[in-house]
Amino acid sequence: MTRCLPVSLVVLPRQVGWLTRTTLLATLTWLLAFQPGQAAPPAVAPAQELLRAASNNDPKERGVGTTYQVPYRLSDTNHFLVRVRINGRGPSNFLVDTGAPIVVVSTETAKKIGLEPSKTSFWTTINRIDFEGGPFLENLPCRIEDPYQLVGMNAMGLPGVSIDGILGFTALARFRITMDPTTDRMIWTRLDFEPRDPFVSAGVERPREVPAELKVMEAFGPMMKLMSVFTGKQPEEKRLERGSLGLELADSSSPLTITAVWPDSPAQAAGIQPGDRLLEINNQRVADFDAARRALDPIRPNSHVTLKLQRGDQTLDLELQATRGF
Amino acid sequence: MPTSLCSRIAPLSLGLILSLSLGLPSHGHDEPTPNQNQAQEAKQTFTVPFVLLGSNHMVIQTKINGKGPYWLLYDVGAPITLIGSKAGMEAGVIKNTNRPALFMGMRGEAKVDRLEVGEAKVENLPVIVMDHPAVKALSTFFRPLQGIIGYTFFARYRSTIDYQAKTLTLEPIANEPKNLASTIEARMTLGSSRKPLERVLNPVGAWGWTVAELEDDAPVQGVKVASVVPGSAVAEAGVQVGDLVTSLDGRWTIDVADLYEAASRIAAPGTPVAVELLRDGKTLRLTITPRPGL
Repeated sequence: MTRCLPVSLVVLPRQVGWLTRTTLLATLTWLLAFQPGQAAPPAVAPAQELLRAASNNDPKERGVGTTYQVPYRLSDTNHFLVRVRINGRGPSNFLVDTGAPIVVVSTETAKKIGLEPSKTSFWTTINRIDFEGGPFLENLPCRIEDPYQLVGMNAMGLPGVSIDGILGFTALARFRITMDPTTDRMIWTRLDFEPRDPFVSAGVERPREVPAELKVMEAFGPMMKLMSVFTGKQPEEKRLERGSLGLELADSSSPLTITAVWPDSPAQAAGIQPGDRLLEINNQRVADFDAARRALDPIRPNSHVTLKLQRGDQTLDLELQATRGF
Repeated sequence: MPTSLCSRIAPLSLGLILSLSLGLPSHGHDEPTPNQNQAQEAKQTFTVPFVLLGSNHMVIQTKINGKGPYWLLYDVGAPITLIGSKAGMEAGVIKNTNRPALFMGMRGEAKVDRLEVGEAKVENLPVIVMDHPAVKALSTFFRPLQGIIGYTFFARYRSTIDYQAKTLTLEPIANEPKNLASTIEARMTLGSSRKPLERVLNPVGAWGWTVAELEDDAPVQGVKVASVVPGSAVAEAGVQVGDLVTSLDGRWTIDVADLYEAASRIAAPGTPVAVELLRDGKTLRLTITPRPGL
């Protein structure tokens, strides 16, 4: 039961990619204001009309027509994350989310990168956001806040990596985006398309009525944060370097032929010579380069590695200590 | 939370049986073959229009078990697919059992025999049946919506979203979406030991350098080249000790792990790899062609 409960909590609130109280109500407020039969009230203003005015009108400078390869990682919770730099600072992990109407930066991330929340507006302007792989946007309105989904997931460490914000419609719609979970990059092509920013009613900072069920969902964030105290936050994944032997191999030879031995390398220390044939690594036969690389998978700098070599009609068993570099 | 919910979550780990084969002959699990006809079929794509709600959410028309049309949110930020309880009942996804609806009309785990988006079809799609409040809210203000399409559907496709043309293009791929519940359970279990997950980054090929992290207070981000092996691929490319690597193969190299990660994702030795460096404050673009080696 104790193990099951959190799972249900996680699965439940995250079905919608993102839809927080504030934006929902901001949108709804706008819609209500435009109900048929009513004159549009003058109080309704676009999300900082200044933003559009300030953006670059030259399509070339906006990168229109350019196609980018955007690396992403799939989190343990099946979320697509891309790295971004905001106003040159970062990087931060942002969730690609067509279920989100806007761009959200978590308060902690905003603080870390020095993005001051606007005191006068619902929106805060990002002067420039760079996405890993090359795409960028200028004068992008964002909302600095902590949606309950992110608070909850991050507190539990569920994604295996912290999620620092959300890329919704206002960023994504400016690109044609191709996603293929079997490849490790998305393809983004900058469109000559500047979607309308979401509207908010001027002066409406706090929603008036929050549906009870959304209120309950909002509670999941703090609740899971509290729960993480008992279950323990999951540490992020550790990325380790593989160790190096310092030898080069012929392109296609069977058995593998050593073509070069780097100076001051473990291979040189063990007396390996160009022309030697590589038969086994740690008692695994290595027929080709891929097999040899796989055999080195668990090898870290300072790990001991045994090699079986053939030199002329002689078989040599050598022990090497891997080193740093590659 | 009632115990019955547990029994509904558990089957998720058994589910996710992939079947793209019906209606999509010759791809899905099949290995691509050199046969030309088949290659052409494998390139088959489906383009469907989507509607953008006033709230900037994209919704698409679907059929559930042949019934419908039902309008669902297309949400690449959603890890699972969700169907409202009314539509779920109508389309026979859930039977009208004695089970009471829980919180938010939650009916638990179910399977959709067939979900169609235009000509694209997914069979045996695991879904959760519930009435999500956000879906309800959007339905009230825009158009009736019956759920959310998430990762378990779109992960079976190479999908292209074009907001300008308002189209979604789906090309079937052979991919079995990983099971969300089991990975989360694994993470939860892991929590008790607090042992971090470890992954060794295994660069492809012999490059010929050692690298080091920058100082914490460095004004730029990158990885410092600490040494270069004379005559190696890196030396041949013109990389020098002291250079700062800022990106490799289009991936940012913020730290040493990033550099190893980027080098481990190269297709094969012999592939020219673009590298961006800072030398004396100037950006330099070089090409390194790693050799086979260890």
